[in-house]
Amino acid sequence: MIQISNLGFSYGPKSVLKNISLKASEGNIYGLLGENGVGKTTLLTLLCGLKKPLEGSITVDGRNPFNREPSLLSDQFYLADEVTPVHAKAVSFAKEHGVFWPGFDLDKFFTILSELEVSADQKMDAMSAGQLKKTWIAFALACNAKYYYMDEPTNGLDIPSKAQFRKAVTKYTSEDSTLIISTHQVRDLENIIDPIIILDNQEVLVNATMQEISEKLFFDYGTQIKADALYLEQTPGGCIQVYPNTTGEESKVNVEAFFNTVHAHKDVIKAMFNL
Amino acid sequence: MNQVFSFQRFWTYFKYDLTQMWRNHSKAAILIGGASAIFYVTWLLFSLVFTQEWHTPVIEARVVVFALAFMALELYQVRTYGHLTEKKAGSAYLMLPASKGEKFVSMLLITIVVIPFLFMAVYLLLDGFLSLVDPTYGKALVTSFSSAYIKLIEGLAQINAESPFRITPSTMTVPSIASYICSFLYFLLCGICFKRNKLVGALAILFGLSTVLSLVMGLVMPPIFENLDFENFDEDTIVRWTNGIINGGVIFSCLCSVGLGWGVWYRIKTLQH
Repeated sequence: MIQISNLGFSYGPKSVLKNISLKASEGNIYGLLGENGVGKTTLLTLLCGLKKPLEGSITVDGRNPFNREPSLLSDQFYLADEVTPVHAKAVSFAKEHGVFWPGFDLDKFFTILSELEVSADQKMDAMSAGQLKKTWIAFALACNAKYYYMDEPTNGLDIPSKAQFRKAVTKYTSEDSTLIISTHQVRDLENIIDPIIILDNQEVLVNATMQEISEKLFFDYGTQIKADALYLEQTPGGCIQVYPNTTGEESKVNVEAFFNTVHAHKDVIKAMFNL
Repeated sequence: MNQVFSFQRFWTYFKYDLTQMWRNHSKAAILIGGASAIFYVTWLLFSLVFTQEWHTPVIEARVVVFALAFMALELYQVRTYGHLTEKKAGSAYLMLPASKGEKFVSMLLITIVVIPFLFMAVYLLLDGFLSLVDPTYGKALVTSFSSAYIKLIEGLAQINAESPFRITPSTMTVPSIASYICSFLYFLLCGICFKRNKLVGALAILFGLSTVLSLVMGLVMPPIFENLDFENFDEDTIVRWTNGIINGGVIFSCLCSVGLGWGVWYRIKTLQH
């Protein structure tokens, strides 16, 4: 389990994260959402141990990520937004790096890579940005890690690859794996992320499951405009409205509409989700 | 799982590190190692163009080129692990499941042993090959170095037999090895500390340090020399001073090596991306 307590981080005088507390339990794919510059990447790099918290603490199964102990490093994988073009063939890269992850499966790497339509014999520094990203994704999933921190994994992927990514993530991660995926492309991932964490300037606005969201908010895709709607967005065939769920009726959560609702009514939403 | 140092994991990591080193830096090491051949060809071309005669590099020039190539190799250490501070190179090094101790030892072995060995092997083999195929080239450097070393030992033995100085090959070996380690570690440390302009930064610090040291020595040494009674210097005093300077040099160079090694370790431990 990932436990974040009163976490604080700043770049010089500019405070990015302040007093952040969160719990992430096993077996979930968390969607980490937030506007540009709120600290999503910083949070992910703190979680994987690339940065040291200036205040508070992070523990992953009771271990401090910044100690970068081999046991924790082999339990996790951090996939950066901008991946490195290694001067080697994908297959050589996978063989050389994979030995460090006890659960690494080379066959799985080849399978995922072929599903993502990338040749394992291609040199990584000769690949396009999308192919390179797909190679890293295939490698990450083949590591069979327990914790995945993915920063904008669908950036640079073409439309079919985004669907393949969703499929690969659900198919090739084990049930007890925890994924924290930071993204701006909520439509790419809204079918797989649950719960959702929304970061705002220095604070967590929401950390809730889809079930909790749909219990508290109703997503109306009809054409009749409601006066008490917290959020309203016109769509070609009608509109999307979000309002408090007073009847207990279930509705399909639209992550983008939810995100916009949260940003338009921060205090209302925080009170609603007891944050 | 051993979190500090596991020999099995170290061996896996060392092999990985060697592969990365070979992939990214072997060309440069071989190019620097090939300086003997490059110098030979250049010298020969100049001689053929300007004198129309077959002249090969003289031994003195070959030794100077060897020293310059070795110096270039030392300077190159800012690049060997310089990628650690470059964001575009990614965070794979830090995220690879091996302990900091294993990464540190592997880094030291590659910097101090593997790369210089590769350079020496390439340089001396090429030089030996040239000596073999061109009789005008003279003796191979490796044989010149061996005979120079034998002469040095014989000379020292003679000094030691005739005077009470404690200058032996072993007392010279320790500071020589330590200063060699120091220079490689210094440029390695600068490479993993500076984010950009690594070489310029490393040289600027060296320049700054030597300037400060010269100023300090300029202030400290004259009063000491003024108070010395040179007229009453006996053999014992000279011996004591000489041995003190040698021992001081040994201690200083060892302390520098340990200090720089600690700096590299601390940098690996605290490096953030």
